[in-house]
Order: sequence, then C-alpha cells, then structure tokens
Amino acid sequence: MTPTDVIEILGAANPLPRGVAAALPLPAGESELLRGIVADRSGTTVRAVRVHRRVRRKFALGLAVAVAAVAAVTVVPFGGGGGGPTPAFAAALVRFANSTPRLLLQIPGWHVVFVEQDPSGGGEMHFARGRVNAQGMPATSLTGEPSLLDRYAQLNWGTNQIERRFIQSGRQNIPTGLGVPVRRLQLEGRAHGWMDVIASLIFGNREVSLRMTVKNMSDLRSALLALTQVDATTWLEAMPPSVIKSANSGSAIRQMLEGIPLPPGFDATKIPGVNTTQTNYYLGTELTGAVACTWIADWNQARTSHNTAAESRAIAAMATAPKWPVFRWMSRQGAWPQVLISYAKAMRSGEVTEGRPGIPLVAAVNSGLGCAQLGVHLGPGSNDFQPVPLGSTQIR
Amino acid sequence: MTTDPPGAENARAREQRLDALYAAHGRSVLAYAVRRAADEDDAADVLAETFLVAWRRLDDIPSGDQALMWLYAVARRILANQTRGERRRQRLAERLGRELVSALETVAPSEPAAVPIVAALAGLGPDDREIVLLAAWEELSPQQIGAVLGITQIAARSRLHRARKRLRALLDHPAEVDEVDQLNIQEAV
Repeated sequence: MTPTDVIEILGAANPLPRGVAAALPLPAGESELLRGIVADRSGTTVRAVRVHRRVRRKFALGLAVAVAAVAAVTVVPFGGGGGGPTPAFAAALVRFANSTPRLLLQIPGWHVVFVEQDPSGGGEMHFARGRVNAQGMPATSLTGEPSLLDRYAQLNWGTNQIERRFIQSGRQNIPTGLGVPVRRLQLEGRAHGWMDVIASLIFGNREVSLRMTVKNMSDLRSALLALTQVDATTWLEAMPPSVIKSANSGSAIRQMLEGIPLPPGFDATKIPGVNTTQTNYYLGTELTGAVACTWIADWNQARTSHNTAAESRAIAAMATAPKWPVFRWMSRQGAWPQVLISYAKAMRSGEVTEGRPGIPLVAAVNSGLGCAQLGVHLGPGSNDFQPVPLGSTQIR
Repeated sequence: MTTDPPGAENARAREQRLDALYAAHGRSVLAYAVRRAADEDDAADVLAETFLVAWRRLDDIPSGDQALMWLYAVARRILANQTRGERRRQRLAERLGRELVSALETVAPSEPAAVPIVAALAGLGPDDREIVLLAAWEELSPQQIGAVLGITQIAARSRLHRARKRLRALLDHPAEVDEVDQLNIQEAV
C-alpha cells in the first residue's frame, strides 16, 4: 500500500532510523567523549551564574520595554463586550483567566474564535476577522483564496515551567525596526503577496508568539501594538460561545459522557483541571481521555493478573468508542477521536504498530493521551517507551 | 584501605548519572544530530555540546521520557544558535566523529520514493520543518514535540496539523508554491 500521510512518507526518508542509530559501531568515541565531558572543569559554576545574571538583566529590560509599549496602545472597545452590565464570572473562571496572559488582539472587527489552555498552563487563542467556518476557524490553507489570508491570527503561550527551562537561551530582543520589542521574528512563508509571520514577545513573565498573515511590516507592527493585556473580566467577555462558563460545566460534562460506557467508580469531577476547562473540544478530550485511560488501566491490570473477564470487559467497552456521541462533533474539529479509537483497536494485540515495530499500548497511550496528566496511572509498562540502551540493537 | 577525598563520592555519583543518561538517550540525540547536521563531524560536535550542557546542568534534567525531550531541546538550540565554528571549540568528539564517518558508510540510503518529500521539506519554514521532522524522524507525539519546542501540546498538535497540510500542498502542487520562499527575517542569537 502506498502511504498517503506525509509523516509516514517522510518517515521512510529518515536518514538514520532509531534502530540503526542504536546499532552503529562506535567502539571508543563515545566513552572518550564522556570522559572528556566529566573532566571538563572550565569554571562550570561561575559560568552558570554569569549566564543567569545576564539573562535576568535582559528580561528586565525586555519587560520594561514591553510594558511601555502596551501602555502606549489606545484601547479600542472590543467585540461585543462594551456597553452592557458587566457579567459576574464565577471565581473559577476568573482564576482561569488570570492563569492566562489575558491578551486580546484589539483591532476593530477582529474577535476571539478559539481558546484552549492545557492544565500545565500553556495555551493557544485564535482570532478572526469576519465569519468563521464550522470549526470556528477560518481556512488556513496557503493555497486558499488570498482574501482569507488576512483573516486569522494565532497566539500561543508557554507554561511558566517550560519558560524557566527553555527561556535561558540567551536570546534577547532583536532590532526589527518595528518599534515593538520582539524576541524573534520569522517569516514562515509567502503566498499571493502575503507574509505568514511569527513574532515572539514577552508579556509579564511569559513568552508569547503571534502568528498571522500580513501584507507588510507596517501591518505587523499595528497588530503587535494591538496585542493588549486586559483584566480578567474584559478577557472573559471576549470569549466565544464555545467557551464553557464554569456555571455550565456540570451539565456539559453530563452531556458529553452520554452514551459512553464508564469504568467502575469513574468520577469526572476528579479529573485535574476539569473545572477550569475552556472549550467544548478540550473538555471532550479530557473526559474521553480520562475514560479511555481508566479502561486501559483496568485492561492492563487485568492482563497482568490474568483476569480474562476484566480484560474482555475493558476491550468491549473501548470497542464502542467509534460510536461515542461526543465524537460526532469532535471528529469535525480535530484528530483526538481518531487517535483514541486507534488505541481502542490496539487493545486486542497490546501494541501500537503504525507500520513500525510495535510500541506497547500502555506506553503509547500514556504518552498519546496524557493519562498521567489526567490523573490516571496505567500501571506496569506505561513508562517503557524509552530509547534504546547503548549497544542494543532492539528498537526499545 | 584508601580514603576518598571529600566530594569524591558525589563526583562519582554525578559521573554515574551522566553515564546512565547517555546510555538511555545518547544514541537518540546522536541520531537527531546526524539527521540535521552538515556532516558527521558536526553531528558529533552537537552531541558533545549537548551532553556538556547536560553535565553542567545535571540537576535540572527531568526524569524519564522528559529527559530525552530536554536533550533534544538543548541539541536543537545548539544547532540553531551556534555556528559550526563555535561548536568545534571543545574538540571532545574528534574520535567519535571519525568513527561516525566509517559507521555511517554502512547505513543504507533512504527509499528513493521519499526523495520528493525531502525536496518539498525545503519549502517549509524552519519551525514547520522541525515540527514535521520531530514527528516523522524522532517519532514524537504532539505532547513530546511540545516539550522539545517549549510550546504546549495543544499548540504542537495544531502546528503539526498545519505543517502537514503545507507539506502535502508542496508535494502535490510544487509549481503553485514556488513563491513560498523561505526566508528568516532575523533570527535572534
């Protein structure tokens, strides 16, 4: 069969597959390298301290400039938020809003169409101008009609944890001529006279990146200046209808779980972060993910203890996944249902193959569905998806 | 009976941790570098610099699967932010580089059918290219890609989706996308 997925095709072009890399004969070079590293005494501690100090100064400067830039922006009334009485948002939702960078692209005619934040604190928002499609987003194809290209923008932000780990790259704001402090500016592509650009900036203690399609650098400057940090109420008022208000989350959870066979003792309210979930789709991934993880944990336990009845029960429950009502609309918005269903099908063999040497299902599921983050521990083998030990010729 | 000098036990423990880290992830990082570096010597240097950073920041490295993502992230930054000349200061990996040249001579080339997609890769921007390579060559999940790139799983998933679409378009309609010239406006160092 000819592969049609580009990732699969590209996989066949891997110049050094994992198993081949593991088997390369490197008799002395690696041990010499490790001994050389261990012998390195080139002022490790002093150098580390110096790097930290330098980075901190850069951040302080970047923050000051960023705040000044935001303060200089004239705030434009946004979306449908102005005028009426201020809605009273539940405390949980306000806490959630405050856990995000609370940024809005305050350009007249633009509105928020999508927002997600995962439990670790990183997230994504999409902004659109004009109408959006059934998925809540404008088309993003490079080969689409030119008029579509300036209708959307995407904002991403990382978690504080990730930033602490990765932000110490020594990068600083770069001279762009935009008059806006930018840490990184990258042209991803050009099409029909438009530029697809990603700009990274610092807001507060977080790095955010704005990706949008612009005609020229002046448009980009305007957009970056319109990226504004607002208070929690203003931010929540700008949310699209797909955002689940916390007051409605209980009924939303009940609706989404309809028609799904639940594992014994399953309690959706115990899923970490479920009460601060922001969109229907993301809530759907958390709920169905927790259900699947729990069934697969039961299945794993049953296999370990040779309890064939419990094993069959878990397999039968997960075999219904293609017909879960919530997947009818979720499958139009993303690949989550498809991935989960593929794991359900793999329960009979216990391995996920995808055309390559198999990966134990529990390890694949743990990584693919994020079971640990959903509060479900899959049991033996769930952390076995590791690279090969030195000198081994096995894939895992 | 000999007595170890103060701190020797701690030093040995650190060495053992480094050895264990390399045993678990060294070849994966080496493969990552080989797939992207200009030649074998450069790949060996990227590996050396990555594990030198790991040695110096041993206490910062997360456990389990996340350790490899951490190492990939370091290797990625070394490839992106250092010139080749800077990488070769350490000279720690000269022998490894020589061994790698001879070891890789025996590796079969990739399938000829895959050549067009490798050519199409050049039409992607650096971020899109890296994200599809992490999925296809390092076989990482969106969650793992997110950890390497310092973005969320959600962002990784949607960026991968978009990059796949772009790569598919480049593969299907190369004539239409020849104007997608990739150009780094400016990359911070």
